[in-house]
Amino acid sequence: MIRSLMLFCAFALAFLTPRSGHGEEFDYPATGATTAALVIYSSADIERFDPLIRAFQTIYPGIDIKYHLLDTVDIFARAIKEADAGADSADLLISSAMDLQIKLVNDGYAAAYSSRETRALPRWARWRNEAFGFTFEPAVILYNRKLAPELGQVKTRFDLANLIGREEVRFRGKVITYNPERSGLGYLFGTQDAIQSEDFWYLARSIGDSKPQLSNSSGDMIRKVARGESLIAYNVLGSYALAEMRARPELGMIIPGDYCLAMQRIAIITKAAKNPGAARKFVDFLLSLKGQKIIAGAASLYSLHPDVQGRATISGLRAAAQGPVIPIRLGPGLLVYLDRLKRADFLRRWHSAMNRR
Amino acid sequence: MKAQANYTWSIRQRVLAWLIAVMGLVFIANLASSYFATRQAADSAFDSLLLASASAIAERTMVRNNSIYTDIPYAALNMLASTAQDQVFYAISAPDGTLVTGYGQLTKIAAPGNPARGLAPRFFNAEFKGVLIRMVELHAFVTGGNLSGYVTVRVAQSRGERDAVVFSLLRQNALWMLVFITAVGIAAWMGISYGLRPLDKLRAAIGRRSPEDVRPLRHKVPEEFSPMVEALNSMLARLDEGMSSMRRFISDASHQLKTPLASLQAQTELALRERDDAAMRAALKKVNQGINRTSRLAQQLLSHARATHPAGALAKFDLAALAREVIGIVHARAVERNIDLGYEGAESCPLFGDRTLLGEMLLNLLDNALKYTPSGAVITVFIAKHENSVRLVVEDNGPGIPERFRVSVFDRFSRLPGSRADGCGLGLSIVREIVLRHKGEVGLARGAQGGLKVIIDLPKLAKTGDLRQ
Repeated sequence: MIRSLMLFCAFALAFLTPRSGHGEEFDYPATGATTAALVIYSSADIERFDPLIRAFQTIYPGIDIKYHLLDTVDIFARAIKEADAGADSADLLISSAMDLQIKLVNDGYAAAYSSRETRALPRWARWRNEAFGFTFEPAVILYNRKLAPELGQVKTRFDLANLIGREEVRFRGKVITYNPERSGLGYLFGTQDAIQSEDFWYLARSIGDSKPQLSNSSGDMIRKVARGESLIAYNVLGSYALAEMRARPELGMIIPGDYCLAMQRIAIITKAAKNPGAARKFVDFLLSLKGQKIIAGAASLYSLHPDVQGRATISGLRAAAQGPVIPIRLGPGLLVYLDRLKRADFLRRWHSAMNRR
Repeated sequence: MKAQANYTWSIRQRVLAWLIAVMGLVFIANLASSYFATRQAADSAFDSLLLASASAIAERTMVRNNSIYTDIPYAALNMLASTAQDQVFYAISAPDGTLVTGYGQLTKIAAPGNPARGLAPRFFNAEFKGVLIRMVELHAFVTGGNLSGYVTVRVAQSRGERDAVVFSLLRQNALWMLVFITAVGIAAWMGISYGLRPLDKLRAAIGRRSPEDVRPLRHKVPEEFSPMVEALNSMLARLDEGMSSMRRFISDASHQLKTPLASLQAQTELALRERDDAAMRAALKKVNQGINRTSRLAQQLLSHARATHPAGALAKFDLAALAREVIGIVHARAVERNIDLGYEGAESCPLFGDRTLLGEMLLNLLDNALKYTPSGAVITVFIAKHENSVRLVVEDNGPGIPERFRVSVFDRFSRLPGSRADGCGLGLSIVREIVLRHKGEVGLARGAQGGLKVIIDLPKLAKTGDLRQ
């Protein structure tokens, strides 16, 4: 059942242009008599959330849901602007930009909520009872198995950097990664990499020397690798890659063996929420075993719940990884790289790594 | 023992009320003091971390290309998450006060306290974005190029976790205090029952006694009750004394009545044996006299009993009028014996007391005077008003009483040696009892013409309660 749903999802995704449709609004009218209306601002593609919302509405048929698909930066900006103006806003913010979500919490835009489900979260997936992580998605290396089979030998970032450096001509223009200046998630992965090790800059210089392509989304990178326009994609969201790989056997995924970063999608109930009750129900549902099973299955995101089994789960990821899986912790540390000077400094280093020649 | 109308709070209620009042004060004082103590302790623990964070930031603040640059270490903000899930704010300002990076609004909060304390780190509470925060302000010297001076690093944390720590400690403290107070209350409640047990035994012992049993209590009682038992014993002793004096009086009185009744019986038997009318008449006359004397004796016994135990009607009355009234009663006897009985002194003399008893007293005095003075004598009653008392004097020019008998003559049934037969020795005793009941004094003296002078001083009583009970 789950398998067929996943296949359906993979099939559907194949015809999707990820990040298309941002700014769009999707209505899920209450299936029963409307008792509450829930407004969600989310950066997750509707295909991911559709099974979750439908399952939620079978439990709460009276809740009418309006799903606004927005960029992470738009979610952040609109939440602040609307709350400060006292205008209508979202009840629930769902975003992969962990740092921006933490900033919203730190600056007092989130409402606290504590339930059995939220308390069951590990410390690194919850902050102040206001921000809740509900997925556990790895940043992986993706490659084209047909065109670059030698990538199968790569285990670590160091291996990757050496390979790219060695085969400079072969990989010139064929490496793709996030543009940290344009993509919030790319910036998050880059800065977290930089915290882990100075070796990251060695890799960044190798990538930079290969005159890489830069992208703003995982979906875009996956497509390019699948088509052969790129051979290697660094820091691709494992959840998106996993879904795509079902339909495209030429895609190969490397979970870096030195360490694997895992990001969480963060849900926040806004202080300005008109329907905090419905938002709380949705958060509880996302964290519940039922919700997490859908996340691991039909939604094709990695689930966080320790009791969910399968490939796209925290336990599946830990089993597949050859090295440590390091969750990006929720907490004030995420504020550091939002600092103006810190960001400027990181991007300056990034540019100098990209443009050595 | 039944609860009486004057029942007040029980000892338990008193002790518990007092205990709770005192404990309540201690409770409040304890909470207040531990609030400040725990708040201080929590602050000093969290403050050191706040300072470490600020110091880490200050260390990575430097001059680069003639401007201030800060490379905030990842750990600087992350370390604050290790102990608390509090919001974190920071701001770094250049020596000229311009914002280098961070929350600009944070630099606008005025730091309280004395700026003269210089560059030492300062901790203070403030409000930011609607939450209470704890802030540290740190100054660090930077130099490079043309720029040198002190940058200001401010790192703040919402108070949530600190206050939660304080609250949870306080709650624990309060809970234990309540347990303690409850335990003390229960202990006091049970302790009082235990402590009062000897009193219960005493109550049972008293309850078992017969009404005549006036022996002192010999029970062992706690120290606190011994004054009460002593008071009880002294009351029992007085009761015993009163009862035996009553018994003595009754036996004396019956003895006194027996003699005249025996003589009356003898006289009537004699009279019955007389054949002669005139002799029988003479005998009956003697019987009649005897009956008069006996009746007088009985009346005196009665007034004596009334004077010692009783409470007649107390009222305000005119003593002078009463004196004249009593003189009127005995006037015929005085005229019969050619005695000059007169009144001198105040026209009226208001006094508070028992009019019947005081009349009886005057009657006894005049009766004595008439009895023991020869015919042709002079008896005078004086009344003089003083500020707080009234002086009543009865003076005659009879034989008087020798000085050595002037005290003993007040005793019951005491009679002067060789005095006339029809006195019974109660008159002056009754007088003394009545005077004492009115809290007055009575004394005997030698009259101006060698007779007896009875001097009575009565205080002008104001209230019923002033009388001896």
